[in-house]
Amino acid sequence: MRGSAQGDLMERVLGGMDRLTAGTSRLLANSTSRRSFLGRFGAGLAGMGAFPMLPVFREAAAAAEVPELGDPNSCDYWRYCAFSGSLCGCCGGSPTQCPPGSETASVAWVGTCHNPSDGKDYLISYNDCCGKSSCGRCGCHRSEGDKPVYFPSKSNSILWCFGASSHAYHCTLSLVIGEAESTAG
Amino acid sequence: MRLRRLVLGALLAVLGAMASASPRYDYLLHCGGCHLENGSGAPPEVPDLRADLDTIVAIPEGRAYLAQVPGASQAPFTDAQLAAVLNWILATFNPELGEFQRYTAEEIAGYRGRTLMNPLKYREEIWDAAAAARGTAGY
Repeated sequence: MRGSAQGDLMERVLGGMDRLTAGTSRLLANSTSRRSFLGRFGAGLAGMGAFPMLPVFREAAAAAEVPELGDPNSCDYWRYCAFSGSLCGCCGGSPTQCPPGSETASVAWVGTCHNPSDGKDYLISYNDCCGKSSCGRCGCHRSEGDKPVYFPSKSNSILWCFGASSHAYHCTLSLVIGEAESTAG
Repeated sequence: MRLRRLVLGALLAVLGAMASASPRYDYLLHCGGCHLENGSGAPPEVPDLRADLDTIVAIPEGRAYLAQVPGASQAPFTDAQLAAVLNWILATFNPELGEFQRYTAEEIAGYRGRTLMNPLKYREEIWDAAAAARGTAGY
């Protein structure tokens, strides 16, 4: 007795769900085209890439006022004076954002680069993007100010992914963290 | 002759001022990569400079330790620069200290002259001693 009442209820619920699904599918099929779905789905996929990067975009305020000159995907770009590694801009990210699927190392090595467009020096934080196998594209090694490993805090030979949960190196960012107040320091 | 000496003196003073960057700049360039702009670091590997420093500097060994820890002692700073950076760190990240005894270049020179043979072990001892001095357990 009890068993059949439960069976009735289940049938009713399942039947309702069937009708609801069928109705919704028909409505969707009538009002949309497959292309529009694919378009929106694609935009969603592309946009999802931006989510993992949001919390690490620390230099947004500082960067807003920095005038830029040159090609950020070229090793000659002003921010890369002390750079060593792969440019994240060539690996699906940008000079300030890690590619999707990689994680920004919180620790970094910091250098000072001269910005030709306003003649000022800026402190640049070279944060590695980690947790993904090496990108390998756009390898740049200008390494100005690089010191031997016995000087670890200023050595490019140190794996700076030690500040991330995975130590696999993918590429390197170049974040402006401030204006240099003295060039001779 | 006197004027020339005066001009030379002024020139040297200007050059001196140019050569010494602000403590904040020195901090960002040589410490901020790991301790980060706001001092938060990445504990436990990179200590948080906003925590515990007030307890540490309260004992003489702890005060010395801040200049002896390899990251500070071996940074490319003159004694005066390191003193300025440490004072800046204490004033900026530990405002609860209020008025504190500022480091001087001479003091730093003394601390830097004594190399720590086992910084990590020494640090544990110092931290325990500092916590005990404060009357709290652990840190």
